Order: sequence, then C-alpha cells, then structure tokens
Amino acid sequence: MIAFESLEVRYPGAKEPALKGMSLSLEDGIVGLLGPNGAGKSTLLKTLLGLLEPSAGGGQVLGVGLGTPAAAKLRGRIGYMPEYDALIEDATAYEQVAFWGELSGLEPEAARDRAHEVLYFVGLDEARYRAVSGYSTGMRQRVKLAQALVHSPELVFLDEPTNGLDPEGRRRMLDLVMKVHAELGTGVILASHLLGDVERVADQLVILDKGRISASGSMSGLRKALSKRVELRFLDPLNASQEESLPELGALHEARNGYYDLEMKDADPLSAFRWAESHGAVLVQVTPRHDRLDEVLLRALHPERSLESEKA
Amino acid sequence: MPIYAPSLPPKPDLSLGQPPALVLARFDLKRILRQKMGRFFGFIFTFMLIWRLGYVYLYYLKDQNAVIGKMMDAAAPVLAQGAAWHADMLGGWLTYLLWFLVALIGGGLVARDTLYRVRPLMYAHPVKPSDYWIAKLGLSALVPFAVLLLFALLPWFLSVGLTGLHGVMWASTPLRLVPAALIIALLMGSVASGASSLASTPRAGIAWVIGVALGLEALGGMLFGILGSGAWMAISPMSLSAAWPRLLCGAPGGFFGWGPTLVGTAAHFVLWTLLLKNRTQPSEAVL
Amino acid sequence: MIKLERASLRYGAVLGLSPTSFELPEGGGIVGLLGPNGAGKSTLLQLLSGLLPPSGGSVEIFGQAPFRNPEVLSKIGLVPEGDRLPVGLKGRGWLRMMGRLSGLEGEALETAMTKALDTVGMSERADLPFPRMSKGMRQRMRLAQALLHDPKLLILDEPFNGLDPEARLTLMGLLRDLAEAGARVLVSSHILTEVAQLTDRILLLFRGRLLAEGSVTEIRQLLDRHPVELRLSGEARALSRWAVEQPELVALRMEDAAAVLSIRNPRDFLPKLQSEAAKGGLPLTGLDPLDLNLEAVFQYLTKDHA
Repeated sequence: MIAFESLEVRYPGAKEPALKGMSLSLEDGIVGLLGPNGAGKSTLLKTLLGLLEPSAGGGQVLGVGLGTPAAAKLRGRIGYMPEYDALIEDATAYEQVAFWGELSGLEPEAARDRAHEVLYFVGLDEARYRAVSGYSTGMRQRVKLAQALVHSPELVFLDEPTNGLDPEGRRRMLDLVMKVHAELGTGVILASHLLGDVERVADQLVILDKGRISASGSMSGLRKALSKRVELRFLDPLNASQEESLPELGALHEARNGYYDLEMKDADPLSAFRWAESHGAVLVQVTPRHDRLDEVLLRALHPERSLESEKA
Repeated sequence: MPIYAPSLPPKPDLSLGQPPALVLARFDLKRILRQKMGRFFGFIFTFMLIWRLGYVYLYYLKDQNAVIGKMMDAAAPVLAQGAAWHADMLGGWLTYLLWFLVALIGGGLVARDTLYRVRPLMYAHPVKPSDYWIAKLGLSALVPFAVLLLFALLPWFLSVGLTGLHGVMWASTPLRLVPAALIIALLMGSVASGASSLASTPRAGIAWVIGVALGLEALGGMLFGILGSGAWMAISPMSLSAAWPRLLCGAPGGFFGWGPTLVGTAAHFVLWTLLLKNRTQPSEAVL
Repeated sequence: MIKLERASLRYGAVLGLSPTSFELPEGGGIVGLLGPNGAGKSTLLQLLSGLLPPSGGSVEIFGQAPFRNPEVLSKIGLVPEGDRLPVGLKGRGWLRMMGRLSGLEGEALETAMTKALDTVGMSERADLPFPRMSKGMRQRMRLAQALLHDPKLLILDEPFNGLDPEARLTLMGLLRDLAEAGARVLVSSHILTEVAQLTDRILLLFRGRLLAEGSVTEIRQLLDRHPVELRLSGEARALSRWAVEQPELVALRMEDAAAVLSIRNPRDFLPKLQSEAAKGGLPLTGLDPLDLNLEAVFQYLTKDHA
C-alpha cells in the first residue's frame, strides 16, 4: 500500500525538513497512526495526497511514485476524513456527499448514486435529506466518513474519527472503520490519540515523533508476548493472606484494579489454577501478558528510558 | 435466483466528471438560487427593465401617433436620448442595486468556505487553487453579467424589432453595451470574491464588499473635493462601473476619462484577484 | 463523603438530572463518571462542585451542602472541561491569581504553588506563557490550580480531551498518585478504555438517572440477564465435551484453539472449572472472560434501559 525509502519532506523555505529520513512499508489493512501533536501527521497526509513533494528519498503510494507527475492524481484515489468539522452546514448530507464525489471526478449522475449508497453504508438513512447543521456529533462524523468514501478510494486517511463521540457512538464508528476495510477492501490509515481505538481496529501500527518514525510494524509483531508473564483476575478480591502467598506462584509485577501481573515460576498456566484451588480463590482470568500499546508507545518515544531501566 | 450482494457496486470511473471549477460553481449557484433574495431583486430588475422597454416603445409611438408625437416634442428638453440615454441603460440605480446583489451573493462565496473550513478538504481532492478562484470569481461575475446582458440587449431588440436599425437605439448599441456589461461584471466579481476572501463569515464578507464599494466611493469623492481632480473618483469601483457604459457610448460628462477608467479598472481587477488567489492557497489551509 | 438524596436539577424546562441518590464513602480512590451524551454528567459535576444548587433534594459533601459554602468548597478541587486559559498570562502568574482568589496569601500561597507545580511536574516550565505550552502542559497547569488548596475531593470533567497519547498517560499517572495519596478523584470521561485503565469503580448515568455505582466486576455479576462469555483456550473439542456436561452452559462456540462458553451463574461454574483444571483433567491453557469488562457492562446497562 505504502512504501517509503528514506523519504524527506521539507516545506518551502523551512530550515528543517518536516519528515526526516522515513523508511516505511505498510501492507493493505488498517494502520494505526500514533504520535504527539506536531509529530508530522499532517505533513505525512499532505505527502500522501501529493500536495507536498519529497525533497530527498522517495516512496510509493498505491504503486505511484511520489514526486512523479502521476502523484498529482493520487488525490482521486485517496479519501480523507479531516479531524475538524469540514461540513457544509447549509447543505444536506446527500447534497454535499454528491458534491465531494463530483469533485473527485465522478460524473453528476454517478456521484448522486454513489452518495446514496455510501450514506446507507455509514447508516444515515432518512436524515440524509436534512441540512447537516441539525446533526448530532455522531451523524456529522458519519457524513465526513461518507464523504471520504464516495469516490470508492483505495486508501482512506481517517483523522480522529471518534472525536467527541460517546461510548456508543465510538463503538459504532470503530465498527464502521473495520467494515470499510472488510467490505469495501479499502486500506485505512487511522490517526488517533486514543490507544484503545487503535488497539481495537488496527492490524499495523506507525508511531511518529518529531518527523521520524519511532516504530512501525504489524500489531502482533510490536505487541510481543512476554514470556511466563500472565494476567490474573479473581472472582472476589484477594484477601491479605492470599496476596501474601502470591509469590509462591510467581513474581508480582503490578497489581491494579483487581488485575495481577505476574511472572510465573512455572510456564504451565495450570499452575495458576492449582495455586488458586489450594488458596481458596477463584480465577476468572488467566491470559498471557502481551506488551500493552501504551508500553509500546512509551518505549518508541523514549528509547533512552527503557535502556536505562534495562541497565538498572 | 441469486442473492444480490448488499455492499457497494464496482468502482466508478473517475475520469468522466466535469472540470472541478464547474462543479464548484454549480454547487454554489444551487445554493444561491435556494436563497430567497432572488424574488426581491427579480421584482426590481423586472420593473426597471419594463421601464426602459416602455421608454423605447414610447419613442416608437411618437412616429405612429400624432398626439403623443406632439407631447414628446414638447417634452424633448427633459427627455433623455442619444448617447447619455444609451449609456444609462446600464447605469443609474441599476449599478447600485447590482453592487448590492453582488455583495450579497459574492460576499459569502469564499467566506462561507472559510467559516465551514471546507477549503482544505477541497484541496485534498483533485482541485487546483486556480480551479477554486476561477469558480468563485466566475460565479460572482456571471450573475451581474446575466442581468446586465438583459438590459443591454432587450431594449435594443425591441427597438430593432419595432423600427428597424434606424430606430431610437443605434445599430451599434450591443457592440458598446455588451463589452461594458462584461467589464462591469468582471470588476464586480473580482471585488466581491476578493473582499469575501478577507472575511471569515458570510455576513462579514457581505459587509466587506459593501464597505469596499461605498468606502472607496466616499474616499474618491473626498479626494476629488480636496485635490480638485475628478480622476480621483477612479479609485471607486462603483464610479468605474458607471463610467464604462458612458465612455463606450461616447456620452459626455463624468468626472474622469478613458485613462483613469482603464487604469482604475485594471488595478482593481488585478488587486482583488491576486488577493483572492493568495488567500485561498492550499498552504493557507492547515490540514 | 459525598451523599446525594433525591437531588435533582432542572434548567427551566430542560432536565439536567432526575432525582438521584447515592453515597460515596470517605477514602481515597478514583471513581469514573460515565454516561452517553446528555446523560447528566456535567450537571452532576456542577452539583458536586457547588456551582449550582439542586432544584430538589439535597447534596452533601463532607456533611454540608456545597453551594456557596466556602468551608466545603475549600476541600474541593475542580478541573472544568475544555482548554480555556487566559492568553496573556504566564503559567505561574495565573496560578498565583487563582490562589489569591481562593484566599491564599504570601508565604502559604508560594508554598502551595511550589507543591502543586511539583506534583504535576511543571516546576521548570511554569513560566511559559500559555500559548507556548502544549495541550498536555496546559492541562497539568489546570490540575495544579485545582490542587492549590490541597483538596480532599478532586473533580475532573473530561480531562483527557484533545491530549495526545503520552500526555494522557502522564495525566493518568498523576491522578493515580493523587488517589493513592488519599484524595478522592472523580473523573468524567467518554473513553471507556481509559476509565478502565484508571479505575474499577464507576458511576454510570443514563438519561438523567443513576444506573449503577460500584466496581465493574460487582456490577457485571448483578447483570444476570446476560450470561458471561468465557473463552477457554486449549484443545477445543476436549474442552467442549467437558463443558456440555455442565448445567450452567447456555451456549457454546468453537474457535481454532478455544471454546467460547456462555455461562449462567459463574459463581457455581468457575470453581468447578478451576478444580477440574487443577486436577489436570482439562487441556486448558488460558481463561479469558470476554464481557467482564467496563465496555460490556456499559453496553448491557445502557441497552437494557433504553
């Protein structure tokens, strides 16, 4: 889907490049894009859209070389859902989605058909004929998503699609994002500040920091299973004597909100059941402990810290 | 008996669409037509047009009816005709009202996109900055041009139809008034869309256009009064739009001649177009 | 510590909160305040922080009504929603001003400021003007402001909004430390995964009413209408053969290397499973309760009452 080879992008007149020596290879799928504000997310987006040209290095997006004349046409093959409210308030959802479709190069007739189809896809049925100024946040986000899909792009860039949504709205939006890839076969880049969202939908991860890639790869590759580490949870909170004898089972790394993160002496998970059985506790959870996304992120952003802790 | 897939049909062809500038202009035109102001201006412009047509018809009756002929002859000193009258087809209240209409339409065209923050999203589509400003300027010039064209041509058609090429209106009238209409429309369009790009809400955009038009008119008048040269009035786009039909019809009077008119019009057109162009660059948009 | 008795709030014809009663005992810890949009979260926070009096019923904090009651308000720290800070001021200057407003003076004010800035880790950067701070830094300054008078109850309305992931993690760590030091922290949020990371205790509001209060595990067990889904990893067929013998089993789904069971009365079922596994009678490699989490509890509760 995307392949960069030491790509460098510089804004005209800027001293420092905004993207520095980026090498990246992403496969078709849902890519979570994480990074602090100002890490280079929007520069990356502009580069994908062919609005900025590489100043050194190069890359391919959807098989088109960046910086070539053909890159200007990439915009027609990419959909973009902005973070902010880029809605035409006095137009109906249907009118504006058709309009965006026409701007992407659809003929008027086709744009109208497609507008109806994508609005059904995102779940806006009757509301599509009302002006969007009366829409709820969830509906507005869905219009923005429909707009990004109307021309049937091969890749969509979704910038904080769950912004401002409540739990139910967030769940539905994330389901939609997964549907975009599963049913439409569209590649997705999901830029988000919410690790939970990324964890839920993404199969690949890119962590940007100060214009560089701090980490990238498949989700399963980045979130390694920690050997012998398990997460335990019990039906009732452990009492003091039970907690005291936990070290018989393994070294306790962390206990929080009823979860116990343990490095077991014995790799066999059944030993946990045996321990619980002999100490009068009832287990409800015994799962291998993987790296959490926040740990992956902090390690990527602060490699020096993890080195220090290793030394210690 | 197949089960038809509920998901989206195959990829549509993206090469069949209309040019982006046309799509943009059509979308805005639809929005303008939905607004109610068409009725008010439609009524007034129709009334003004009928008034001018009535005038042409009256001159036709002069030769047909002895009584009317005598009355018209008696009133000749106060009845306008000739070059000034021709120029007035596109002048007087018509230009003032048109400026108002253009302000209402064009003043919001760019400012609305700024307010709703849709411009960055447009540039994320295959839209070039030139597509954008051509669409905005074009549409805000097209509306006054359409109105002015009616006023330039309908009275002439009536006159030619009633009395032939030697009637009250010259045979060459369209050659003089149509270019004037075009120049006025472009002037109005560039001022309106340029001033609109300065504003961040449609209301402010409308205020900007009216403010620019009236403010420069007042400033021109003041400079004229202080410095004593009518050429200063050429800084006012309103005065410029009144000057063009007069100059092209060769009507006497006016505060300034060809030189200031040409320079003033060109300066306004270039200034406002550049402003529009520079304030709607993709770099202005933080994606 | 917090006690509401049929407290309600209406803004004219608009309902903010239906009569609500609950009690939070004395003691530290974080409580997550959850609910869909318009459920009454902000209203409840306004009642608790004494910004508005209830239209009916009573609100008591530390035994007194908080509305216009300086004695109670001095024990409450509030971080309201949003990111609004005066543009022209520097961090420390603003903090000093806020301290004076809450009655701190001279030496006491300076000590309190140093302490609050230390707690939020902004001592070195507090002299920056606000526009030059990152969102995360501004949020920490706002937290410092709420900590100036060393409150026993800290109320935060959507504090994570707009923060980048690292700033979120930093703020979460701060809140955890404060709670451990003995403060009661009440956080409203839309992001369930984050609340789950912070705490196990929640208050769930829905349509202006309190739906549930307590720990997620406890609340989940009360929802006996929904069978618990357990994923047993291991040799799926052998696990299923054992599971179908159990009277608590409602449904069974096979996956590649796991059996997913829907179970009623997990209190009866889990001990049986455990002893069978401990005896070595089951090829079990892992046990994962799929809907014993905040997300599931939230969804079941709001759906059941919709």
